[in-house]
Amino acid sequence: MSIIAVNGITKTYRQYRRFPGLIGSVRSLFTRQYTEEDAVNNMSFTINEGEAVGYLGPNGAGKSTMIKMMTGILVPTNGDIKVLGVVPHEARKANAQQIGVVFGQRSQLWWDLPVTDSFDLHKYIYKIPDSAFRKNLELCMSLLSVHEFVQKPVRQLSLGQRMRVEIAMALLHEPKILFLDEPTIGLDVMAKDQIRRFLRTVNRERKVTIVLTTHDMKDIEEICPRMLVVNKGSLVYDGSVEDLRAKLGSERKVIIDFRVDPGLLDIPGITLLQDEGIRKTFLVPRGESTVFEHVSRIASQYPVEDASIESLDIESVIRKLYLQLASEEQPISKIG
Amino acid sequence: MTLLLFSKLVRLLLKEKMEYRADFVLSAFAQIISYAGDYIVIWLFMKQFNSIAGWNWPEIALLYSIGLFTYALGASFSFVQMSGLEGQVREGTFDTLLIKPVNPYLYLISRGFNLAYVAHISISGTVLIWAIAQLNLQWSWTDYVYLLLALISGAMIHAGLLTAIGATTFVWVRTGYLFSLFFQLKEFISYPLPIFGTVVQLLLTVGVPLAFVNFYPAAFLLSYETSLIPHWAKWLVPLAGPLIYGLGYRFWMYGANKYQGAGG
Repeated sequence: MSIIAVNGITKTYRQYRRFPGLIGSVRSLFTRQYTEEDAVNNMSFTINEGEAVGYLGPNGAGKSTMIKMMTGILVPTNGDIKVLGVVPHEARKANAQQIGVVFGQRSQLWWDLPVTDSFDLHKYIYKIPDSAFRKNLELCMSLLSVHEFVQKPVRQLSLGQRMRVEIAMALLHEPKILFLDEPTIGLDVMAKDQIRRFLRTVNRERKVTIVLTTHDMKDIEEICPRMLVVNKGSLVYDGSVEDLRAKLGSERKVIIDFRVDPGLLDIPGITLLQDEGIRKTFLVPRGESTVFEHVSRIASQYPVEDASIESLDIESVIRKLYLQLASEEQPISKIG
Repeated sequence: MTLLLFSKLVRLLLKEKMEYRADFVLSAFAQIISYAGDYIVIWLFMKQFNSIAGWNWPEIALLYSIGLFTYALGASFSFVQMSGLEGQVREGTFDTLLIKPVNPYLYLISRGFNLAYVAHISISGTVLIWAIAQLNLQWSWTDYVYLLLALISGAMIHAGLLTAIGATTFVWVRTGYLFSLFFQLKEFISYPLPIFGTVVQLLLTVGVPLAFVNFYPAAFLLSYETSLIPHWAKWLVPLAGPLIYGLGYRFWMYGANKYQGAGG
């Protein structure tokens, strides 16, 4: 059953020209001069109950705008959007009651007060019954080990602790959908791991639908079986990580350590990905000659210390997708 | 939003303020001193001239105190909230307001409810009571009711105007100069309206109706003639507050919807 249905959604930002000064701002009020920009362009997709979907794209691709429309913060310029059967911005309060939202870069906690106070207020705002509140609090506290610092003022928490608290709070009213905008941004590896494990549990065991935006591909790999990739406001990929890898990852990454820096190498058929002097990373397409043949050809010409062959990790797959998208717009900078 | 939630918020705000107790006490103290200074300046002025437009010192003290008292009451629900909106819109924290199952305006004004105005309230309240006693007015109970209504209405006028200014944030983002314009205009109502020319009188009556905050109520209570409002309209004056506040609220909600459409 689909709980989010986005159908032909467009969001156009209209930026009116502004004039400086007091008189200027009065003038700005009446000006008809503006520029328009589509942040989201004719987007359609559906998300089913219980899914965990990663929403990604380069900066400025319109990720946050889409999240804001699904959460009812922004009104779309065109198209239909239904979240849990209602139009989010029309039934803003009803929608808010059913969803949880976490912004990685914007805290919803009371900075100077202990965490418990923010939780307590949340309980009032969302009218959570005592028993449900206690039960959910228990669960989040144990899974996210929030109890260690629940009495501390928020300002004394580390970023990792704060994010755990933000997520715990967003789940207290048992939302059916949890939206997370870059939940792991700026966190260390341990904190990221804990949050990913928790989100996976919440999704798999409590059947909370998760929609998250991120720039960290590991988030997608570990939490989201499905990803939506957007670029310049349009959906460019909808499917699993594996499928995308299969589609784009017909290449291997070869890291070669040279004994001495051979300088700039130009080997036909393969692309230099990264150059760190004596260590160079190449992208080798699967074609007429195998990876092995390429490596041995290089080894016959230059002193090679070591070589390793890797499948493309998801990050490279995405990078390749972005580059491909960019090259479709500017044929000159075509890659591979 | 329920009253329960509001009281919950105020409890948290108090707790939050008490994290910085010294700062709170010091700034309240500073406010009292600063406004005491204002009173002294007017008092010295009145000693020199005895009366302004026929109003003597206790009458001016009454006028000024109604202005300050209602400002403090109205601003505690609006000033910090509305002037802070600029930052909230720019940084995107305003978004977090729209994902709560509550009225965003009511949440915003309660969340920002400013207890610091207790300083203004105490000094202006004290002087107000002193002035009434000093004037030895033979007031009937209807006059006291009128004063009470005027205080509520005045607070609503301040809050309504500040709310309307705050609403422009959604269109222009920068609003600092509108707030300073408001405070400039507010200076005018420290004195009886007739000392100004017709343009200013009209401006403060129909343009930015700050004269309804203290001048018209005080003039009716002290039986002064007013050139712009006839005497029979005395009891209509306290309606200005609810009207302006209602319009300010409407305008703000309209602005918030605009924000939703334009995305800051």
